[in-house]
Order: sequence, then structure tokens, then C-alpha cells
Amino acid sequence: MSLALRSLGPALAVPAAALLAFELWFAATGRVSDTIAPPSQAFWRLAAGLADGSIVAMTVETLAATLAGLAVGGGLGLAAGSVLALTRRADMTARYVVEMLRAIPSIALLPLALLIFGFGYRMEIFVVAFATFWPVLILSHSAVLAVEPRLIDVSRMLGFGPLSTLSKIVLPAAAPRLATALRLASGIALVVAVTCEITANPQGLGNGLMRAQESLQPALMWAVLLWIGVIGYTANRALLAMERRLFAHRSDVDTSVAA
Amino acid sequence: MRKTVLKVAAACAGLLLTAAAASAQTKITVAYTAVADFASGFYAVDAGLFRKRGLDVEFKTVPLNPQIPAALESGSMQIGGTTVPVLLQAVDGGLDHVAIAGSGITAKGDVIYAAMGRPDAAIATAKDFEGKKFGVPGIGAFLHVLFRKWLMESGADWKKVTFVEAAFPQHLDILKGGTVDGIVTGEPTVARIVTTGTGKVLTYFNDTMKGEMPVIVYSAPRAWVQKNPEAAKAFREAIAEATLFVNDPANADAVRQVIGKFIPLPPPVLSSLKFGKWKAEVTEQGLQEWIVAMQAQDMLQTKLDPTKVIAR
Repeated sequence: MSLALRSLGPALAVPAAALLAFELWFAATGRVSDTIAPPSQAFWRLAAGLADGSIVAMTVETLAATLAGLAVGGGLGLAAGSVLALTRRADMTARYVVEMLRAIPSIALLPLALLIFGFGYRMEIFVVAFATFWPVLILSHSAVLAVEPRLIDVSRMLGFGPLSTLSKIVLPAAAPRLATALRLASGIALVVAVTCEITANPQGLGNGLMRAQESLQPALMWAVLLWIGVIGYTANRALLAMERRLFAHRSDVDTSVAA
Repeated sequence: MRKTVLKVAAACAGLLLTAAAASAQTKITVAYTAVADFASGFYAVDAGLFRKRGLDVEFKTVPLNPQIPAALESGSMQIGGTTVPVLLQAVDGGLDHVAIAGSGITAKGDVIYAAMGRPDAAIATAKDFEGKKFGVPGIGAFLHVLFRKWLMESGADWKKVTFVEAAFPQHLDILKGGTVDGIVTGEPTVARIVTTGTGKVLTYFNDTMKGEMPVIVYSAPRAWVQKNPEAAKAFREAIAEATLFVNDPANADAVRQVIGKFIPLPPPVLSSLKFGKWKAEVTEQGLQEWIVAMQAQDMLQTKLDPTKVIAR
């Protein structure tokens, strides 16, 4: 039995005990609430929502906006970070602008995004892209800077141009760090997408959460909340597994961290 | 064989005509928030009152009412069910939006909205609210404005009451938990708090109201109304027809069923849901009362003319 499986039992025991205690407390007190519900009802509503497709439809909306925003923000962040790391003058010029703009909370852009794009995917993708652009830029910048300088010297000796140096030397060498950047950015993307849906955009899991709250269905609200947690956890595990698989052969990468 | 070909051709022609009729309908997306004040609009959709006037109307829920003017401005929605304070603040801020039709109203004697406290709360007069902390569904939201209006007109200083924002579904729990001294809320929360023994009604604060006041109005950018005068007129007529239906006490159960289609409340809550009245016409007097109340509460920067906020 692997270490991960052996640790699963104790790891699940504590939340399971807490949920059981909560369930018993609910049954004993007969509490009426518009915001909390017994765990059994939440699990039941989750199963029902998955079976009738309503939660699946919301999930598709949230994931579509998350992935599109991540693709735009992550792609631009990767390109900008790499260019800045390889071009000293551009790096010096952009430094203060980057530091100033990345301090803006992405959710603060919601009113502006709403005014420009209205409700729908475009608004959410814009906000998610803004939120993921900066961490990917910073992490890819440092990943490219961390590439062994001798490898750059080798590319020069081989007569590589800037694009060949980037594609054949820099990006492969920085790939493990870039994968970590992608994993961190994907977590940010999901959080921002759901927040965007809770506060403004009438679609996806965040909106489902609010709709459940407004229609006095706390069990459904907790079911959606639980499902968001499951999606976040699954996405993180999938990206960790991808990192392990892609970089298992690299002696310069500690894949045990990703276990 | 010839007959079969003719039948297929006739069927195709019928389908094409149906598709053409559908595409000829003016598409309108209406933003709404999950409150029963929209029942006339819900009924108009459910009973096909928009469709028969050539409008393809879709009601789309949005999380927060103050976001609606921005969504209308972006063009992603054409009409929004804004509370009157939200519309007036948008106009005050420079947006050229107008009310097309009215929806829910409130008037003296309504028992839909109330200030509530715990069962042992010692609050008997407006003055007793001073120094207390009350939860409201939104700072600057219509209930907040109405309640502060009542405090002022009842001789109390609203600035001495602390207001905190809490969504309707949290009202029962924050009252029970003691986070606040009381809440300013509406149905169905009022009934749920009373029936569970969590609290009691301190005042139905509409008792100082002189006339009726619109709560929700359907608003749109003036440019959209000028560009689509027929659609705006048809929308208003459909709402007027729906209003006659929902105001009839004999239709109360049917109205509850329609509300349940747009706001999926649990059946026990839906069956006990109380609601007020609806009015399709937006009056200058109704808007003026809001303007006066909001000016007294430092919520408006400019002098608004109610006649310019109503589309004729």
C-alpha cells in the first residue's frame, strides 16, 4: 500500500467525525436555519444535482471561463515574463509598471468589466485572465532567469537567434518551474472565476451558490460549495500528476514534492 | 407520391413561417433579482403576454441589484428590474436611464417589510432604535432607505443607528446568533422568524408613508427606448395586463406557483409567502417621495426631476 493511500484513512477520519458530529447535533437540536443544513442533506442534494445535470451544467460554465481565462492570462503572462527575463532593458522599463499593476485585486476590476463586457463569459474571462497574468509573469520571469547561464552561452556558440534560444534552450530548461506556475495559476483562476460568479456574473457554480442561498435552500448551497472543493482538489491533483509524469526523467527536478 | 411531396413541401413552408415569426420577435433580456416584487413580469413570461405582443423576453437573474445599470449600459441586457434608489442613483451619477413600467409597490399598511428584534427586545418607539445595531439587506438598498425615512419621520436620528449589511437568508441566523440587535427585512423572512420564535416584529415601518411608493421599476437606457419605442410600449402593455392578474386576490395561489418557477423556494416557504401589490404605471409622485427621502439621507448629489426619469 502506498504512503498516500495509508495516509488517506487518518486524513479522512477527522472531517468524517466532524460531519457526523454536525449531523447528530442537527438531529438533536432540530435547528431551523436558512444558511446551514445537515451534511446528509447536502450530500443528497449534490447527488441529485449531478444526476439531473444541473450541477454539471454549472460546472461546465465555470470551467469554461476558468480555462479560457487561464489560457489568455497564462499565455500572455508566460510570453511577457520570458521576454522581460531575456531583455534587460525591457525588464528595467517594465519593472515599476508591473509592480504597480499586479497590486490591483482582480475583483476590483469587476465594475469596469461589467460596464465594458456586460454579464457573460467575456467579463469573467477578462477578470480571470487579469488575475492569472501577473503570477504567471512573475514566476515565468524568475524561471527563465534561473536557467543555467552556460546553456545560454551554448546557444550563442551554436549561433541560435532569440526565438531558437527561447524555444530550444530556455523554455525546456524552465519547463518544471513553468508547470508549477501553471498549477498555482489554475488555483487562482478557479477561485477568481467562482468569486466573479458569486458577486456579479449570473452563471456557473458561484451563481448557483448564490441562487441556492437566495431561494432558502442551504442544503443545495453546501452541496455546490462541496463540489467546488472537489473540483479544486481534483484539478490540483491532476496537474501534480502531470508534472510528475512529464518531469520524472529530469534529474534536476524533485518530483517527490509532487507526490 | 405527388400528394406526399405536396405534404412535405407544406410542412417545410410551415416550419419556415414559424421560424420567420420567431426571428421577427424582438429579443429582450430582463435582469431581475430573486424577489417576489417581479411577479407581474414572471406571470407575463409564463402566460405568453410578451410573446403575443411580438417580444421574445427572457428574465435572467443577477446577484445584486446595483449591478443592473452597468449591465444595461454594456448592452448585455436591455431592461433591468431596478429598485428605485438604484435607478435614481444611476441617473444622479450621470446615466441616462428611464423607467418603462412599474412592478412591486409598497404602501401604508403593508405587512411585507418589518424591523425585527429578538423576542425579549425592549424596543417600543423609534427613539429606542438609537444606539442599536441593525442588519439590512444592503447599505443604500431600498429597505435601508425606507427604514431610515421612517426613523426620521418618527423623530429618531438614523445616524445614531448602526447598520450592517447582511443578505436576506442570513437574517434569521444573525438575529438568533446575537450578531445584531435586530434586522430590517421582508417576506418570507418575517414569517420564518416569527414562526420559529427567533424574533418578533418591532414595527411595520411603512405606517408613516403618505402614499404608495414603487419598489421595483423596469428601467432601460433612454437610447434603447428611443430606438425601440414599439418594443417598450409592448413591454409596458404586457406588464399592465399581468399586473391585473397578479393583483387579484383570487389568483394568489397561481401567483405563488409562478414565483416558484423563477425563484425555487422550498414548498412550505412558497405556500406561506405573503406579497404586496403591483402597479404597472410609474408615477411622478412615487418617484418624488423617493427623491425627497434620498436627499434627506445625503444619497443624491443633483436635483432630480422625476418627470425626466419616466419614459412616456
